[in-house]
Amino acid sequence: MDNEKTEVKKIKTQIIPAIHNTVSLQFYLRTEDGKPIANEEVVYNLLRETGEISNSYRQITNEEGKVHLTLNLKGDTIIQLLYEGSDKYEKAKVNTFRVRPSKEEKELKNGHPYQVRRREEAQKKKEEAKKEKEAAKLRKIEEFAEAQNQLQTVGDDNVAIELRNVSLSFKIGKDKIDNLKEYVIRTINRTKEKKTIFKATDNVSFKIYKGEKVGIIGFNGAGKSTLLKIISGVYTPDEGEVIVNGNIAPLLSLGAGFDKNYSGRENIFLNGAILGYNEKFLNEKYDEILEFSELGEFINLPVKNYSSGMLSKLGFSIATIVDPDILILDEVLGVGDITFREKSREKLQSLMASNTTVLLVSHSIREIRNICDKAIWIEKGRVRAVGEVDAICDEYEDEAQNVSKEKTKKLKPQRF
Amino acid sequence: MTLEILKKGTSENFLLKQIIKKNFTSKYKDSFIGVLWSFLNPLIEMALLTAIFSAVFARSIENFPVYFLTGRIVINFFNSGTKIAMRSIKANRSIFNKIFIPRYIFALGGICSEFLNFLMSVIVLIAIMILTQAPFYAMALFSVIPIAVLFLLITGIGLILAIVCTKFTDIEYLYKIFTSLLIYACAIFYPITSVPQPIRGYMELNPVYGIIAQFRSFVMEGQFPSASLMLTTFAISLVIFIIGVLVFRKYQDRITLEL
Repeated sequence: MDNEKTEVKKIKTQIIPAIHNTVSLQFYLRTEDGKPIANEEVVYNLLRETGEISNSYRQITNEEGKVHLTLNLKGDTIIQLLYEGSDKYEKAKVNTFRVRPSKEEKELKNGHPYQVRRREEAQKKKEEAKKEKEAAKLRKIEEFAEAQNQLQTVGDDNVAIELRNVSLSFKIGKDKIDNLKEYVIRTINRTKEKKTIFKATDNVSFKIYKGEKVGIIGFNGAGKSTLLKIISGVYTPDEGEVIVNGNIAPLLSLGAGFDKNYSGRENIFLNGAILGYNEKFLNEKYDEILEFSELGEFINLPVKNYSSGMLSKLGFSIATIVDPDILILDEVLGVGDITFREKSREKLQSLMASNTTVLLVSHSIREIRNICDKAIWIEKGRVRAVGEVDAICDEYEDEAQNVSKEKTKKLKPQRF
Repeated sequence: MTLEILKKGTSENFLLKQIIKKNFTSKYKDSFIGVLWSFLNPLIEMALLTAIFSAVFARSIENFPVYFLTGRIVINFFNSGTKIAMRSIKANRSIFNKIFIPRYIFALGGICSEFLNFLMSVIVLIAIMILTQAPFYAMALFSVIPIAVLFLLITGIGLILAIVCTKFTDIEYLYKIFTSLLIYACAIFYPITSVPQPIRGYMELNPVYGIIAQFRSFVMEGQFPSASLMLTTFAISLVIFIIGVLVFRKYQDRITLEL
């Protein structure tokens, strides 16, 4: 009998890849020396993840020993193939397969599993790259802070502007209470909204040396203009110190405080006074301002009769008459018609000449590269990086491209 | 606050001059008769009130036109000075937002230009005194003392209001009501003797009334007012001035952020 009972060869199976939820399983039942076994019963057990049998099918092998079953599967399923043996043949070992159609299904309708896998891999890679980038960013900020600390220990008197741990925060409420009535009522009813504090400038420190041309870059709302206002003295920081050596010409607004009833001449003196010029200086420079502004006879007419171009020409002429040590610019200004625009740019160029320290905020990276030799990158009120202009600008432009893809839709005010 | 502003040739001093000039000229720029309004305004008001009240208070007030004008020009300086200081920060927010200039300078400039208006109405007062043949006393020169105290008081109140009004816009309307009440509380067109005693004691605590009483005493009677009145008025005004400066100093930076 021993000889007659031939060993059952391992059940040979073949799996055909699933399409949708359907799995086709095909396999051959053979003896060890390859002879097909016909008319024997084979069991398919479908198991849930937990191990309990959810379904079981029985099939009879054909003459080639082949069994074929098509299943419609949902969710995680384990398929067990089993031959229980008979008088003639030995029991065959259990073969199991695991099918996971549902996850793929969720991720990709009508997608080929290979595609899904490829996509998953790509996603993973992306995430890893992102994590790496974040880490690199953090490292850079740390490195920068360290370098900055070292800078601060170097004492020298060649500094034009120095900021030491400057912070400034704004209080913002959704509805601004700007009258007493509202204030009293809200206080009584206790419906005053808690104000959120928005840090426009957060622990910023840097040094700008005399004669340096520095560009400040950063995305909208990063705090560039606030920083300029802190340096020019409009805002007083909550914490920290601002040290400025030399006289500042902030070209932040042209023609501030113009009185529309005043003539151009009178406005030169009024605006000049607001800009901090004294009387003697203005008397000396009056002719120069008039000549530069190209207003001619109009200078004696009230400015309410001026065109907006003429107003900005006058404003520009007054603002740029000084010979400042430090020039602060929010975007390079070109005002007036084509000829004046050219002239005003030339004037600015001459103001930016060798010894002047220039602080320029601009969204035009090209301009920053042209004018500046150093750049400060501000992000969310903090200094992201300081360094040689091209290096910083390259980095910034790279980031800008990524951001425009990823973040622009998610932009929201960063609150602390 | 520095005293830079008083030094000649500094840019602060120049700016103050420019602001005074601007306030002064813009006030009458659009009207046909211009600066003449500064003279006409108190004159017309005086004529009107004289016509109405001189009959009522004829017995108790010797020279009603002069009595009314002395009170009127003082309270007018007070009201317009505090009002212009109150609006100084809000009205110039576009400048404060862009350029650093001392925050108090528009308030001070406004008060100074109102002071010039006050001096012009003093000319009207002198003219009326000549017309009504009122006596002139050398003592009247001492009236610079209450006027100086008034300047202190206006500056103090103006600085407080400038901060508060920037924060709460409706203060402006409340203050308008307050100033019209003040006119009635300061014995501008009625004799102080017609007020019964306990109330009169409280009225004398009002520094604006105190200043008016001193001013009248110097100009109309040619004698020093009571020392206690002068001292209380000065003390109260000084305290208000100091509080004003402190409040303004404390909040001036914060208020710029809210502009």
